[in-house]
Amino acid sequence: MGKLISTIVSVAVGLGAAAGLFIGFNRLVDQARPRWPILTSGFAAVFGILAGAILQHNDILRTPSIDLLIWDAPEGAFTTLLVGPIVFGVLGYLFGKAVTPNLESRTHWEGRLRPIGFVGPAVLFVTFGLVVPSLRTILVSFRDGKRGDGDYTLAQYDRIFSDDDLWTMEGFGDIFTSRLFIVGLFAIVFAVIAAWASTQRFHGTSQSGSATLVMRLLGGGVVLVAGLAVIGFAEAVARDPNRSSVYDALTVLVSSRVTLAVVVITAALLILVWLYFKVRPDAVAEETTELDWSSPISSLTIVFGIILLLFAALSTMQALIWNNLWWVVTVAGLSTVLGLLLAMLADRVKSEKYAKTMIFMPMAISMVGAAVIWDYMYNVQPGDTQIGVLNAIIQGLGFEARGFFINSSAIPWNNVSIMVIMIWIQTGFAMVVLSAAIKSVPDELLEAARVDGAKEVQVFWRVIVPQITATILVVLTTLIIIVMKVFDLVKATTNGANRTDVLANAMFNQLRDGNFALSSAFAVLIFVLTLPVMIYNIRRTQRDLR
Amino acid sequence: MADSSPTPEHEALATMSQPVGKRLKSAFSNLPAWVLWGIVILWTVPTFGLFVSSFREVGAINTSGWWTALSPTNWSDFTFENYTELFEERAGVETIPGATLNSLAIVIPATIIPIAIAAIAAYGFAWIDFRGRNWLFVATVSMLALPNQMTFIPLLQLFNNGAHLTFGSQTFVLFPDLGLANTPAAVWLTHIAFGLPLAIFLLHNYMSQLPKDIFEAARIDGANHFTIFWRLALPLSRPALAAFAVFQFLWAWNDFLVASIFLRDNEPLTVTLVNMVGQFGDDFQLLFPAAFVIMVLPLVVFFALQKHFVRGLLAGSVKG
Repeated sequence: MGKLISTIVSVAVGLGAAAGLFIGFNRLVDQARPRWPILTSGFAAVFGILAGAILQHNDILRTPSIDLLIWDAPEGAFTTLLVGPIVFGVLGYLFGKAVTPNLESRTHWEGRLRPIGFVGPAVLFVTFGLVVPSLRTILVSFRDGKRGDGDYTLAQYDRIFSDDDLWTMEGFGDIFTSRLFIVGLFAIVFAVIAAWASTQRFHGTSQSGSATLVMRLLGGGVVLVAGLAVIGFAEAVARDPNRSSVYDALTVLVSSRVTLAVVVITAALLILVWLYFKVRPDAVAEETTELDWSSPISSLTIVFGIILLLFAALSTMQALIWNNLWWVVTVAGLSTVLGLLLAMLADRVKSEKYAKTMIFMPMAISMVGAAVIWDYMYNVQPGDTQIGVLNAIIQGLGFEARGFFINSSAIPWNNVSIMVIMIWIQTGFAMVVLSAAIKSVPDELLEAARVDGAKEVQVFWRVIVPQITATILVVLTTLIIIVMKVFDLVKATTNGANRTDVLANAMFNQLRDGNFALSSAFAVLIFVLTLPVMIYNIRRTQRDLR
Repeated sequence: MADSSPTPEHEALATMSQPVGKRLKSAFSNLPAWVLWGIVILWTVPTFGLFVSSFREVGAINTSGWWTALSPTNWSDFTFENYTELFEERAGVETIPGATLNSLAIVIPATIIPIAIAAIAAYGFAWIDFRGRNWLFVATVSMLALPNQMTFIPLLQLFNNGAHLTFGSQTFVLFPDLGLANTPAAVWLTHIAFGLPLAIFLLHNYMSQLPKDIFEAARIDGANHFTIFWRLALPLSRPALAAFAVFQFLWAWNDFLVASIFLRDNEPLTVTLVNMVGQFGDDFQLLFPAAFVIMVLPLVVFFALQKHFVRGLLAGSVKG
């Protein structure tokens, strides 16, 4: 309890002192116009205190301690508190008297000094608490030695990028043979076709013009993917000559029912679109070369396809840095999509307030607490009775209970189990912000669309979504920044075991072991990965100020 | 939607007299509500499970799922024993009351001080015209996205040894070793630095939206910037101050990373809980009440001040 009281007292004293300084500063600046020498002597005296403190602290000018009548001054305080300010104050006064400028320039100085008192403390704090340490971290990451006091070198980054657990391109070829990748690819092809068909339907465009564009796009996509696949196959073959990745790819293609279904459906749709324009040549009118990405089918499938492709790539690449990127894509993407969905649902429900509060609640729970909560959800018991909700359901459905985090056979999907916790926490944030954005879309706009005969789905995709794009981007960037440095959850669930490690956890562990240089290099990597978002944010702030 | 729909009684009557097809359709019009509440249940179950389990006997926790406790025949399993056991002292971890005090010793300064500094700065950025104002503001706010990992090692060294500058044989002390290492002050000073960019951003957004007329009127009446800030800007931006306070409180209370880097003993609740997970592993009867104790204060603050929290989230992210 005493600790708490002393904290409160010191905060009160500190705030009082700061307020005194702030008010004193303002009063001093008030003197600039009427009594200029007071301003100069005041600033000189403050400078004198600082100069005296530095001089006596560094043993340059140390005056003997003098026993004052009531105060037994510590050694050197004399320099700091009396000699410094008085000498400098008098000098400042004389200087001010000698050079008193005209009124205009005194007013100018008043205007120049005033903002320093207001923004100065914050800028000082940010400079010495954030900017200078960051620069130092960058510097230390380029130095040798455990504590970062050796020569300048790239050794730390070399260590990171030559460690297969941290960074490797191994497995690059397997991306292209994974089912997720193939399904994702078909989803994207499907999306392009759907977008093209949608343009045709809305604009009634000439078949030849847009058809050639679609063909070009498809052709370009195929060439791109084929090129990547060739590189990937070559890499896979070079790595393990005994295994034919081409053969693997074909087996997967043929054996996967999902793939087969996607192929059949895509083919069927292609034929249908083709038939439609064969039968209804009157649907063909003037030429547009745009693809309509705002139709629900095309936009949903393209998002789905891109997420699948990224998932395929990032779940296959199993080094720490890839894992960190996987976190960002999954959590930022899914939380935003889920949040948007929930915001739309809530907009149509009367008791939305309570529902939103409950979904939003995990935001108030610490990640450490969330880890305990979900560790229990994922709990697995050896016997028949499961006490974790998820395994109870899995067993109830007739499957075998599984370990979600620690089971090495769960790699890499044990990562997803931890990501789910983060999605559980962050979806509420996305929902609340997006919900407010949806409510701020002007009603007249929605009414006008409805009067024109737009269906609810169309209103959503063609009116609401374009209106809230800026907010969606804000949510996404915020989430990317948060997830890029994810730490607590990984620490409290697996501590990075079984390939679940992330940059922030590696940084922390190296710091704990005293490897400051290597730890700094990890921090710089997080920073570099966040940099694009940071730059985007800076430009947005600049735009908003105008 | 609310305007055009008839009262519930009318709706019910109308539904009864309609043919099956229409009735099905009106059931489907409630679909959003069903889906939403389904998701709400999904979202609440994990926390609810923890809450129920924290009141169950050790034996019951380890042999049956918490949902079985909901049936009245098992109500005898409920007990407060876990909580009394939790508050007992044990070697290796901080006691719960001690950790709570440590948390408060960090959170109180970490919440109050940045508000004071940021309010003054936000006023300066919003209403005092000076050269380089926009540039400085953008630079300060851009630190919002800075990963805090970038600052830990230098700050740790600063708190441990102070900062020195060496010229040849002469070493200058730039920042003396104040013995901050391993104290709550090291943690809350760091929290202040991390919190300031957001605080300035939120308060600047709010203060710059205040009507210009009142400020100009005050200027004409001869009030200086300090008076305007103290008498006008500060009282008027109370909602934004509250919004940031809630934000910073939750962030500082729930923080694990900063505390575990700067403290080796006198840990706050979050670090204590992780230590308990490490030490007691599957002793759920201790972890559950501990996790719940950590959540109580933030949840109370969250439910009581949710309005402010949401306002803080929305400031700057939604363009009206």
